[in-house]
Amino acid sequence: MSSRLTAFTFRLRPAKLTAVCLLAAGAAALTPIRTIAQGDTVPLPVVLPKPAFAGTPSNAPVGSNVEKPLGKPRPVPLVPKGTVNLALHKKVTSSKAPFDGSLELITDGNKEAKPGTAVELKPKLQWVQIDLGSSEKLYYVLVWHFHEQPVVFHDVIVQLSDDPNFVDGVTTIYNNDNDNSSGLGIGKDREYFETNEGRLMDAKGTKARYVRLYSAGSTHTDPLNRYTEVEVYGVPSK
Amino acid sequence: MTSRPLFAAAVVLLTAAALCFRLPDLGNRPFHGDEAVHAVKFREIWEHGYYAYDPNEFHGPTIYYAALPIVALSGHHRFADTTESDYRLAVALIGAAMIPLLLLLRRFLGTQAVLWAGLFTAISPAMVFYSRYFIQEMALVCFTLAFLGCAWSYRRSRRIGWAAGAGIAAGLMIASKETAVISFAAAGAAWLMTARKLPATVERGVAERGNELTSLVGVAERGNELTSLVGPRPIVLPDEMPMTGGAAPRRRRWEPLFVGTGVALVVAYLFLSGFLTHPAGPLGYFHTYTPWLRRAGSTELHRFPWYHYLGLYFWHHPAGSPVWSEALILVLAVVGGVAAFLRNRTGEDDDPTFVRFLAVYTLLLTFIYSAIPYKTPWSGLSFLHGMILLAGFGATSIVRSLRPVPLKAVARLAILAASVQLAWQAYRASFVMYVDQKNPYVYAQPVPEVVEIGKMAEDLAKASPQGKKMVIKVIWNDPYYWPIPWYLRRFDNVGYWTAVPPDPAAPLVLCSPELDEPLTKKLDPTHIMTGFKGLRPGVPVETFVDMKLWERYLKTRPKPPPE
Repeated sequence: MSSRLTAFTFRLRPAKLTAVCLLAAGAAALTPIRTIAQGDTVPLPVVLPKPAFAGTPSNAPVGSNVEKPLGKPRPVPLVPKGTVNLALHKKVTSSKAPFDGSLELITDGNKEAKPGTAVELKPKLQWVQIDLGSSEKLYYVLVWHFHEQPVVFHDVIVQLSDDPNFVDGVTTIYNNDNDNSSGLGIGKDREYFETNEGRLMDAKGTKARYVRLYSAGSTHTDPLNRYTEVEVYGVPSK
Repeated sequence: MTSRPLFAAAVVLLTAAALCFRLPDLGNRPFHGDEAVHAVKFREIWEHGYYAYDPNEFHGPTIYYAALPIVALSGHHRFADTTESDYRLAVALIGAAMIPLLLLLRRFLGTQAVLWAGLFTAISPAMVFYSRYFIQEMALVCFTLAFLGCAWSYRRSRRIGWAAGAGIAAGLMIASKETAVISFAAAGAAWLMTARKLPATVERGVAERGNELTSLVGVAERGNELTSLVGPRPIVLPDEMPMTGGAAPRRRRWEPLFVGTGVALVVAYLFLSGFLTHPAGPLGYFHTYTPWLRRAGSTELHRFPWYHYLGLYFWHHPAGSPVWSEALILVLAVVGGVAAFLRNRTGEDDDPTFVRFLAVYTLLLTFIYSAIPYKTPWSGLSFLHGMILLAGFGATSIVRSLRPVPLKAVARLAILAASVQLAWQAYRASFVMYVDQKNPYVYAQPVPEVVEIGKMAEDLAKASPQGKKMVIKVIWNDPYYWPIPWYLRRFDNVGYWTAVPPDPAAPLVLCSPELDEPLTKKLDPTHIMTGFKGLRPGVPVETFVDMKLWERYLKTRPKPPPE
């Protein structure tokens, strides 16, 4: 029985392979056309700031688990039509008062790597929190901590919730605290070099009003935490 | 300085100075990849009494055997318990032994020159740095010194014991490193060019004593006055000496060569065969030069221009670093070499022929090593040591050239003062900037953080049910993952791959960053990439840990104090 089955499989393999290949190629070719044609998704409407440095860093800082830079532009994901940056000009609070600058800088729409565009928070684990005003279905969070230089921020954790105190219904969409030094759980995401592309985090359609972003210093020359801009992408319900 | 007690005291003092630079804090620098390889090779001898010569890599075993008594005396019973210092101590002692070994040259180089050479050997930054390094170079240089001393002593005394001594030294050279052949070639060529002719005194002794030459020994023993007998008489080649013994002299002509070569081969064979534990091993020596020559001429790794060594040793000034230079040795060596050729009779207790031989020998070695594209900073030690000997003679020549006694004293003080900067550089190289890439002697040196790899594995083992039997997989994109095996020496189950295996999972996986993508794909469901550890500058190690083990490990960690 088994030998007959094998023979059967062997005889049909070339035909099956051809069919599978044709189907896969056709599906791959038709998928974007279908989504665009249907008009339900569009590329994420991100406008990147100008790069502040050329090239990509080659040496990974010892102790970090930084991922290798992609070496090419990041692919732009598709999001539902009508997706906008819900965080623009929204209220921001933080764990402690800023060391320098104001929290408004985080949602002011200016993400260029220039002096005065980033707010500085004190060292060690700190958070900033954005109140979107209402609970919305969120697709992506895009954060620029500080992209004047290719620094690596530690313990980057991003959580979503409808609870402003982040006690109930907390969804963690990004966590690269691999040794749980922040006490929010072990994160398997990798650290990364700051660039003008920022860090794009998939919110997977989670419904939430508040976005909280943690960090615990960086490989910069000082131990401060910095935020240049945070964008939260979703479709406004109203 | 001809007083024997004073001379002996000076030699003891210089040896002590050499030890002061070589012995302290031998473990301050992480093991270089080569040192780690040698330590692992030593392990075979230590645990199994077995050594097999590999013609492709690793050189000879003399330093392993030198380390045996030291490790035995250290009180460590297991390889896992040995430390970097245990191994480096063997080389440090070899490096310091070069000072008393200079006594072999006293009658040829001169008493003062030997002391100056002893001082430069003791404080040369390169000599100090590589005396604290578990590689073969210092052994090769030391045995070469012994070889030259014994061979020249035979040439002057015709005592067969010296020929045997030269044979032992030559055997040890061969058994240390394959580049011994360069030293032999340079010495042979230099001998043909400068020393093939015997001094007339020796010729006279041969004529009077029927090729016994024992009168010369008497002369030598009476007070190192050989050179005073050197005169302007026509020199007779040894082969052409008038012999009185009929057919016997023709046989004796080859006697020292036969004895020396025979002893050398026996000694080399004993070491290269692991004292007969692998009798066929030394046969590999006949084709060892195939891979080494290929490496010397073709590989891009370690490939440098001809002037690389000269820049490294005599003028190295990287940005943000003080100047590194052993130019004092070079200048004095040039003075010594020129003086040897300008004057027929150089001093009261030296042999101008030997100094000329030494000058040509050193020059040839410098040319040969500079011409070979394959260069590592320690390989030039052979000619640097030749320069050190010549520099000793150069310093003496300067002092002797000055007539008034106060001027001689001033010259001595000036050279001593100039030598202080060598000592300072030696200190800086070996005790301050010992892993700094700006240090010219630091080469492919692992970063200090490399020890964290072993520490992390130890910490994980404490949280693992398997303990030290925990499986560790080291997956690298090439064979240059050393010295990781040294830092994992306390683990029983460590495997190494140079490509991603079908099942890479293990409690701890260490990999090269080039393999990040394929390994992440395979390990992501079960492992966490906990971070990079340092291996060499610009070469990190990725550490994947089984998630369950990682969680257990994090629970065992002491909690940081509250803010």
